[in-house]
Amino acid sequence: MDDRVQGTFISEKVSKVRWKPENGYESHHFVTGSWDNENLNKVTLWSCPIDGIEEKDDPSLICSSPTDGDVTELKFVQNNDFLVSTSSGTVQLMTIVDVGDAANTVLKPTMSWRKLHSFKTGELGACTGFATYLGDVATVGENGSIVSLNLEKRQPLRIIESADSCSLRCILYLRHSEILTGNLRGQMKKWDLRIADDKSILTFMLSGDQLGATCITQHPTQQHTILVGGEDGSITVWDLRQTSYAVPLAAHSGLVSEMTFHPDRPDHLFSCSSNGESWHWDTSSVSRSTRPGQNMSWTGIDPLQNENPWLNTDAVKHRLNVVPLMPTLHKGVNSVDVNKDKVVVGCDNEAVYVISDVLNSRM
Amino acid sequence: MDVALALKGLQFKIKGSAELTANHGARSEDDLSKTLGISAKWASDANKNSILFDPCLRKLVNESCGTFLSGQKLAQNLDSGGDHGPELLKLSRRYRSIIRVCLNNLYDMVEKSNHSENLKASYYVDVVKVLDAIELIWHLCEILFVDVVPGNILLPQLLEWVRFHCPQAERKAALLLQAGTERVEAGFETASAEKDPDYWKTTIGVLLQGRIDATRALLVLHSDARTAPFQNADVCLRTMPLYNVHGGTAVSVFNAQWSHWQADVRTKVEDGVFASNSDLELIMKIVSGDMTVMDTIRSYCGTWYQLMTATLFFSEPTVKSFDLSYHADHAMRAFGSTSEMQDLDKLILLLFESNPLEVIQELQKTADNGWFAVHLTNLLYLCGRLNIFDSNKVNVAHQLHEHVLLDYGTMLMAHPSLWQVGVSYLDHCPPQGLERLEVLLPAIPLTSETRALKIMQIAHDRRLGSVVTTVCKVMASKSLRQERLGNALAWALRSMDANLTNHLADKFLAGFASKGEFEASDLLDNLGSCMLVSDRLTFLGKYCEFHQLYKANEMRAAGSLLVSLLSSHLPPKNFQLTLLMHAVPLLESRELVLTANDTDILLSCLELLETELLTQVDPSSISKTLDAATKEKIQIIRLSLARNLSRAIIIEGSDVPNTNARMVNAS
Repeated sequence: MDDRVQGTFISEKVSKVRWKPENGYESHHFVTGSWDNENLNKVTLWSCPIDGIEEKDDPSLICSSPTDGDVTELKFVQNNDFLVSTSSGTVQLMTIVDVGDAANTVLKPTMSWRKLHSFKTGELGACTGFATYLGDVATVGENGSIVSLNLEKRQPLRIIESADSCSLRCILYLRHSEILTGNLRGQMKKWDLRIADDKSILTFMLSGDQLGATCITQHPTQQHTILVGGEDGSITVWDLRQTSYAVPLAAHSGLVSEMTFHPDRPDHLFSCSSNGESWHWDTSSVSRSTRPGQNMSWTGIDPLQNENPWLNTDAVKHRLNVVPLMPTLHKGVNSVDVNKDKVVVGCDNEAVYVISDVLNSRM
Repeated sequence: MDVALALKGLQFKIKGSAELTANHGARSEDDLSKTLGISAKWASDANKNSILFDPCLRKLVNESCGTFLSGQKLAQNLDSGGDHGPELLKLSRRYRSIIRVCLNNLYDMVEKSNHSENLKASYYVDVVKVLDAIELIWHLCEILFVDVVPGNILLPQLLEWVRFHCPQAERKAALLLQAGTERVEAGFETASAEKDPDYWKTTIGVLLQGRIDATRALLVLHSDARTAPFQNADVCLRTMPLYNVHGGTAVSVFNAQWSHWQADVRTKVEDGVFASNSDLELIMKIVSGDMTVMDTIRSYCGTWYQLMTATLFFSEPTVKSFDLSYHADHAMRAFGSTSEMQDLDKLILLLFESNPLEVIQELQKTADNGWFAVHLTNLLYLCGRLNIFDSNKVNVAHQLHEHVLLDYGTMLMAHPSLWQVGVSYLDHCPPQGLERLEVLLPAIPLTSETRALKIMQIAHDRRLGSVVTTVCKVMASKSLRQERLGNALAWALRSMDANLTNHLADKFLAGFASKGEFEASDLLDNLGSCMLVSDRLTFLGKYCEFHQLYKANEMRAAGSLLVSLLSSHLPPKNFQLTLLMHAVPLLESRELVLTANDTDILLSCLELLETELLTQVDPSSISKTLDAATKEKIQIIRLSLARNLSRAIIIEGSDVPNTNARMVNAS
């Protein structure tokens, strides 16, 4: 394997992995969440050796905390606070206490919301994911409901009980009051949380094949551009200003498990798939070539719109620079996160891989 | 506790299950088992007490799976020819380094748990012993079977093997050397290393492991190092011919040099050159190959294989690999009686005898759930060193290979978390692996949708359509039990099962009949081409469409859809009356919605329905009429139809169809 890839086996299948934010500085800590490990699932904080002295060392375990079920989503809300959702319908706010002192660092649960997505029969249903917007959190579950939470309040703000007749698989905040959900059949629904009526304001299908939506992500700067990952490995690009306009990309050959844009460099997208692929999409060359000021005006296309390579059908299909982050694994890659020039991926072969220098050209 | 006890103490045997074997040609498997001497034992339970599932060893399971898969990739190129020896050796070393990494982790664990729990520490100590033994055997296998050396002269590697696994002497030597150097540096005239009680033991120890350089360095540290006997000994040791496999010296030439040199040493010993120091004289006697010191050597060796390599080193340094079995047996006898022989010794002996089949059989009994057996078998198989012949002289190595893989894969498939690893092994034992996967995959409990999707992907990639269908059906019935009709239908649609979708469609219709609205309308309104899976679902989809149109006030479209529905065979019988009732508001609407032709179709539907209903009524009942409610409904419909027909005829001004008679009858 490439010497930029550092793999570590951690004895549990990894469902989520996230860098701990450091106010925009480079991070040396990440958190993993495990799945499918009977009743032994947990979230774990890891520390990466700082470059230079012990560059080739494995990340070391700092501390962990058990969860009640598979970890289904994990997101940081503050530098030291993260939310974790589980397959038993719990969302928990965890705080990393004493991060400077590795021996005494602990993960402390500070707030938890339980049984958010129970079925009509009373059986516990999985929370399949959540999205955050400032202090607000919206969760979705297998029971097809949407629950809106606030980090300051113990009680849910609002529950849309029958938001969907199928399991909801993914959610995204489009803006503070608007959310987008995707279900098992690839039906996408847009909701306005200000409207008291429990009806979506817009519904559309990802494809005609009834294949599920697995993840959604939003372009960091052009927020009308939405990417939806599908069960068949396709990535569909939606321009929310024109709901009928979608560019389906035949991307991975297995279910797209996660996609994330680089927060500071929106030209770069990272995606991973259950067939073991983890990819780096570099659109900087496309963006540069269509920048206004070049001889583009005669085509009559709005140069500003064209600048977004994801909405440029031709560019997306033929000119995107896609490079594998590492060789294809024999088990699924479940999660990917990026911080500065380091990517971390978590996989079903019970390993996490830290890949450094990702933004340098690999060609 | 010694290694063999640890192996036995943690022994884990997989229980066989006759019922399950019966499904897959029990007879042929049994015959094979007899040949291979392995009991048929599939459908094993993944015992949680097995050390293999300890968090520390799970790394072993997962990492070695990756190595195993790269080995299979290599195997695909093996057929194309070329020398793959170096690559296979690399593979073997990778397995060993995985074990070593695991061992290092375990040492840390032992150290950590030493402070807290004694019980845990002793558990890890046992695990370390098992892994240590595994590594020892693997290393030996690598020397004997994987790393092929020209001329079959293995002694240099065997000495290395002994040094690697019995490092005590070398470690002590290093300490002595360091202390000696420090003393010399500190200005002492001599290092006087012999004051250390272990000095001679260590010196002879490293000598017996073939470390001539270390022996010489240690001798220099002796206070008498500058005296004639020591100087003489140093010369002897320095001039000792060492066989180098890649050195280019012919074996016969080397042997001549060797016997000449040994004769020279022997003369010096007999002349009493070293007599002033008894320990030094012993060393020189050993070096000269003096058989009388055999017993003394024995006390310096911890194990019989150390004794074997040591004796061979000074008596027959160019011993061929096929003679090793004789020497092993000999050394074992010399070392101690065979009654004390333990599992590990037996395995090593079997290896020297080049008997991989028995080794694999023995290994299957170890505490690691066959982890070692499967990977070693696979490696030997790839190297082409696994040759086992049945009574008909047919090589059944590939059957053994497949059998071991199947066992291991099946065992992992039963583990609640490592089942995905099991799939990788079953993938590589055709044709039985796929069959077994087809049986085992649907048996995995579908605890969450995420898991179901993973299983479906595995099945889909291997074209196991039946598994995909089964998973979907199970998920559908699970959703149904959770009162989630919509989700149940979504899964049923994926299964493409007509019966199941029919059943669910009926549930939807029944729900509509009792509540007056559809559950999961977001799904039903967006069925698209999926509604074609079954008749009932097609009807349900169209019926929803009718309601949508009706709600949207598109009466004409709604009307023609209703007519086409009624004229098709799609609506269930018990729903026809409801459908006809839906026609009433259309018939009575201010504008003409249904044409005379449409009305005629509806009328004939009504007639047909009424006849059917009448014949269905219990023949024993006296009245021979329908119940009041149905009767009233039929009357209402008939009246509306008549009124609409007359209206339509007038408006259309067209030819009156031949229905006058019936209409008059109705009014």
